[in-house]
Amino acid sequence: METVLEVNHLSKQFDTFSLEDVSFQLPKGSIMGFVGENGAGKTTTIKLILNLINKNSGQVKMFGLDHMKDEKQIKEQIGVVFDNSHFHDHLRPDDIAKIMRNIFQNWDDALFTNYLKTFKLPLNKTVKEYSKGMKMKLSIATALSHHPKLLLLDEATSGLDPIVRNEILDILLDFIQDEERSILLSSHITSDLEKIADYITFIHDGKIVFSESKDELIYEYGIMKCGIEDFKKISKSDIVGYRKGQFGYEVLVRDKKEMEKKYRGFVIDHTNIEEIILFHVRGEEQ
Amino acid sequence: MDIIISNSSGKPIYEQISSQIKNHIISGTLLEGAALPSMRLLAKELRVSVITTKRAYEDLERDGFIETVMGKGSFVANRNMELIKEEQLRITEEHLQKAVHVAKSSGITLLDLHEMLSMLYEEE
Amino acid sequence: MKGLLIKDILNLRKTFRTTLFILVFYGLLAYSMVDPSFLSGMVVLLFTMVSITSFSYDDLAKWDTFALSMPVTKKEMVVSKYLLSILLAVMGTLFSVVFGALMVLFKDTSSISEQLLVSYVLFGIAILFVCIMLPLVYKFGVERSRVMMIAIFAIPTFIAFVLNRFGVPMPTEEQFFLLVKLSPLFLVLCIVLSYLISYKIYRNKDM
Repeated sequence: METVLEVNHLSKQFDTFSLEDVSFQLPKGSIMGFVGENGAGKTTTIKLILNLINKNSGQVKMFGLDHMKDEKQIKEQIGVVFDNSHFHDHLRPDDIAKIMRNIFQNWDDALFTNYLKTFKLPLNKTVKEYSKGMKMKLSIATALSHHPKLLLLDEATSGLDPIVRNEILDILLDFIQDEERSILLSSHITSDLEKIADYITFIHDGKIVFSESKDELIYEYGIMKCGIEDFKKISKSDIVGYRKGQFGYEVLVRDKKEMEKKYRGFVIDHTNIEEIILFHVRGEEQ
Repeated sequence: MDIIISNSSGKPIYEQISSQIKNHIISGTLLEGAALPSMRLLAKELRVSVITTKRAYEDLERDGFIETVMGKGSFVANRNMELIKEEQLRITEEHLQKAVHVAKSSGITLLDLHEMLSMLYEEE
Repeated sequence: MKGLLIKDILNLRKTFRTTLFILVFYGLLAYSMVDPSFLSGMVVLLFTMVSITSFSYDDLAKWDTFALSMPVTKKEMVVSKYLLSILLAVMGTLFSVVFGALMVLFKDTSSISEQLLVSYVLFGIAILFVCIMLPLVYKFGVERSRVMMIAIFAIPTFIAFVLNRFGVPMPTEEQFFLLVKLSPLFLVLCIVLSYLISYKIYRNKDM
């Protein structure tokens, strides 16, 4: 399986926060959800990948090219969407097209116009007059209109209502129909990622906790529920994280089938990405 | 072709997909040589991961129900009556197993069961 | 880089209009005054300030972070700002030349050659202004730089005042013309030096 984005041992130190030894791979043709709580390091990682922030150490490759040596070549082939619109208030879509035409070699005016029409974005209004959802769709339209092979979105759906978010997810799924294309989508809205991600990479406190296929996560992890006495019977190595309630314990376990055999009679429920993350983070605190 | 998956069923989604497609092939909804939707399109429509649909198609190919041609897509394999019969036999056995289980636990004899079976078969 | 310049021009459309209005207003005011020569200096200054406004707009939109995610290098970002600033200074100077010509025609105050010289000196000052301002903006941001600029303008004025007070003679005509002849080289050097400083600051910045 070809890798379109390779991050190796990326590190960056700030005063109050540091990113340590971040590594993961995005296989070509897939969507990877990059998830973590606010402040975990998602945006920092993406900025490091894009060389917007100077790294301390590590290596990043896209399309097999080095992100610093072949920076311009890479950036012709990627589309980036940040969480806020970065267009000046007084610009209109045709102004944006005028600018982009002279930045990207592969800028496609017809494609841009098509996206504007599909997304129902008014051509005669300025960015200032656009709603938040419209601004985001405009950013996406811009990112898609130079035929990129890799899309990087940083919290692009945060702050949008469910209807717009759904529309955007559909746009992303359409984009990925061509298996030469890939998407890295960072978000703290796990339900969105559950809908479209093939892989999930979880970052917490500047470190990667896991990076695996979403299916495996959903099928393998489970929440085991038991009483206070029974909790003591569970071996420490089986506990990924736990939550103590007034009437019992909830334990996140890996390899559900094994656990079902090992701890007969215990309730083991299906889980979702949000819970897996919560337990990883909370489990640490306890 | 309808494919309905349940997120709350215990059965893994790729299994749900592959068994439903199998049924469509067996029942004739999907004919020999018919093109299946691309893995990606299916993933998008069902709102599941492309890894899931890929797995489902791989299983279907392994079991001989479909053929995947590089660059062209996946197609229903030539009707292999043997395979289909095997599948039907398996399902029938499953159902009969259940009937036997219930019969045994409620004291219904093998003779009673035989009678029931003949009656039902003739009725249809 | 063409795209960056287009972006600035598109953004500054409104600012241009406002600047022209101000010019027309002051132009009319100047016409009614005895010595309207202040307008020449004002024109050049106004146009040069416009380039600083472009930085403000970029900050507001957080444009830089986004721009650098596209095939645009930090070098291109800095070069385009210098180009823009120089172009604006040239524009302002052209306006002041036109105005100077009008003054000669209508007010009969001086000769064309004197007006041209004045415009050139103002152009030189504008370029120096750009050379000092841009690195400051890159280092400290637009708001803080604006404050610093006031101080920077005050210092040479103060020095000139003090020198004058102490009877230090003004340069002779000969010396003056020598300075004028050497100035293009001096200005180019200033621009290059200023650019190198700005680029170094910008390159080390985390976006």
